[in-house]
Order: sequence, then C-alpha cells, then structure tokens
Amino acid sequence: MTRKLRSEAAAQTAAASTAAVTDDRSSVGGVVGVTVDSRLVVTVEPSAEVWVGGGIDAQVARGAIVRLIPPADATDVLIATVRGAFETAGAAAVRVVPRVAGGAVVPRAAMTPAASAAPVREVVMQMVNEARVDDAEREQLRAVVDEALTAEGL
Amino acid sequence: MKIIVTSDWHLDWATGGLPRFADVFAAVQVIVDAAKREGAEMVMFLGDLTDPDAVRAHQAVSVAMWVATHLWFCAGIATRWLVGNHDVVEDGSGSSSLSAVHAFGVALPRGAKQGVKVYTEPEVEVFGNKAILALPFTPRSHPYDPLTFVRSLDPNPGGVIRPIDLVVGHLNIEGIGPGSETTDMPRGRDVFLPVAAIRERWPDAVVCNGHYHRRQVFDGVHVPGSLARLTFGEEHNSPGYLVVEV
Repeated sequence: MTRKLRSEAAAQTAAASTAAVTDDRSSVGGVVGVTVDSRLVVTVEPSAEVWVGGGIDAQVARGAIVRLIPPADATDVLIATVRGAFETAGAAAVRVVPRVAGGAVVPRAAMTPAASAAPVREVVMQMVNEARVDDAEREQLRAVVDEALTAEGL
Repeated sequence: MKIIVTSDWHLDWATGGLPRFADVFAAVQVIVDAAKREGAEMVMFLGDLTDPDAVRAHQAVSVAMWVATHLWFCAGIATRWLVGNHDVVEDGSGSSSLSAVHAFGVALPRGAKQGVKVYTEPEVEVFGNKAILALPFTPRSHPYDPLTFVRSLDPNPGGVIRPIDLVVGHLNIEGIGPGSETTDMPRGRDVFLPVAAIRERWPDAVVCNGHYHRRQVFDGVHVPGSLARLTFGEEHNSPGYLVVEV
C-alpha cells in the first residue's frame, strides 16, 4: 500500500519529498508542538533585488515553490531571466503573476521636459514682420509692440 | 494517554501548479512514525482531508485508509477522524470524504471497533478512561449548534457535569486572525467553537481545533495547523503536529 502510494506520489512530481522531523519542540500548557520539515513557498516581491541584477539564494530556491511578482517596468526578457535563474537553482515550480500595475499618471519626476517654445517677443515680432502693411506702418507697429512688450518685461 | 494531533492535510491541493500530494503524504508518514515512536495510543485528525470533488480525492482517501489500517493493525494505535468544512458533501446525504474511513471503522469486528472512528456528528466518546468531546464541522444539510450541544451535556440541577478530558473541533475561533484557510481556501460557513462555555464547564480540558493552517495557541485553544505550506500566504508557517497528554 505504501509502495503504491509512494509511486503515485513520485509520478506526480519529480521533486523529492523533504518531510522529516526537526528537533523543534515547543510546549504550551503541556501540549508539545513538533515541526515537520516542509517545502518552502517563496514570494519574490517587486522590490526584491533580483529585479535589479541581484543574485538569488540557491539554497532557498532549491525545491521551493516560487511566485514571481515583477515590478511594473520589468521587461519580458528580465522576467524570463529571473524565472530561468530560479529553475536552474532547482525550484520545484515557478509561477509568474502579472506585473504590479504602474501609476495611471506619469509621475512628475519621471516626466520628460516640455517641448521648447519660442519666446513671446520672438513670436510677436514675427507676426509684426508678416503683417500686411507697408514698411512705414510696420515700423510704427514694431515701435508700439516693442514698447508694450518691454512694459510687460518680455 | 498520549495522542498525536494533526489536521488540515488537504492532500488534493496544488500550490503554484505543483500538486502537493507527495509532500503531504511524506509528512503523514512522519506522523505515523512519530505515533509509533512516541508510544501514542491514538492519532487524532482534526479535519480537511480533501475536497470530495477534487481530482485527487481518491488518492487522499487511500492515504487516510492506509493510516487507519496501518496504525491499528500494525501498531495497535487507534485513529479518530473529524469531518472538516472541506470534507463535507453538501448533497443532503451527510457523507464526506471520510465516509470510506467511517465505513471501515463500522465494519471492524466487535472488540476492535475502538480502532477507527469518524466523528460525523457532535458526540462524547469515552476511550479508555478518558472522555473526548468531538465537535466536527456543521454542514448545512446536517446542522447542529455547538453551543447548544455543549450546554446539553449539563446534568440536571445539582448533578455533576460529565468530565471531559479532551475537546476536539473543526470550527471557527472567535477573534483569531484569519489565514489562507479563509482568504485562499474558503469553503462552507462560519460556525464558532464555544470556547467560553467549554472553559466554564471543563476548565482543565485540553482543547484542540483544526481548520486554521498556522500552528498556534489562541485563547487557550491548541491549533496543530496544516502539514505543509499550502499557499503563498503560508510562507512563514511552521507545519507540524501536536503531542497531547490527557
């Protein structure tokens, strides 16, 4: 019976069973708790160093069931690389969940500089130059506009 | 009397796509070995063997049957099995994933019936010179009120309350922090263990309760927890079992 069950178990997973008693007893009210070795279950958070080039702890990864939560900016290549690292280290299973959602609005600090704009004086004077007037009137117009712009500090 | 208390095997479960049958079965063998090594008279399972409709339910039942037969016939150690919220079949029949074990216990010959027993309903069992109060999960089809049952054990006025040495349940505990059994693996409804009423009547009784996957002692109730880290919410759990002397 045991052999049959063991073979069924082995067929389900290639990973070796790790259960064994550890000498970790605690007694509360005369009731003793005994810890049994158990396969690790590990979550790799978006803030983990592994996403920015840090290494993985092979001892933790070996035989573990790993859940990867990539940061919002993780590329598919990076995710595949991290997944492969855990698999190479002997993880029993690696599950990748969707990236954490990025911010809906681009943070101010991450914004690219606004497109450069021509100074107001340059734009207005260009309009003066293109006005459909004769040269004398254009000079008068330029003087008036120049005075106005100067008064506004432009 | 020494009793090994274990719970929440969930032999059908898979974590991150990896079936956990092999892991949990290995841990169950540790329990069996521990029972023999410790000289225990009983192994008490506090519920949640498997969901009855799970693909791997038949394998889970075979493990329970192996434990019950091996311990009784090879080591003379009795087993008790409490129906949990994941075990019940809500079809009105009152059956559960422990029905095969129940049938096996009933079929044992006279004189050996104390070897295997499934608690499908609340009851008091006298085993040797110890009294065990069992409060299994209460399904919708066969409900009972744990508090009413505990109070029903009161004697007539002026009489002596029947002494209870061990209380075992698979119910909710008021105020306990919910774990993955609530967030990731919910099933059934919340029915609470009447801790205050139990303490009032049997202050010296050892109280053990399944359902929760983290091994802990809460409000004086000993929770053995599950035998493996079954979900990512159980990363920091220390799976194991309890050794209880009553």
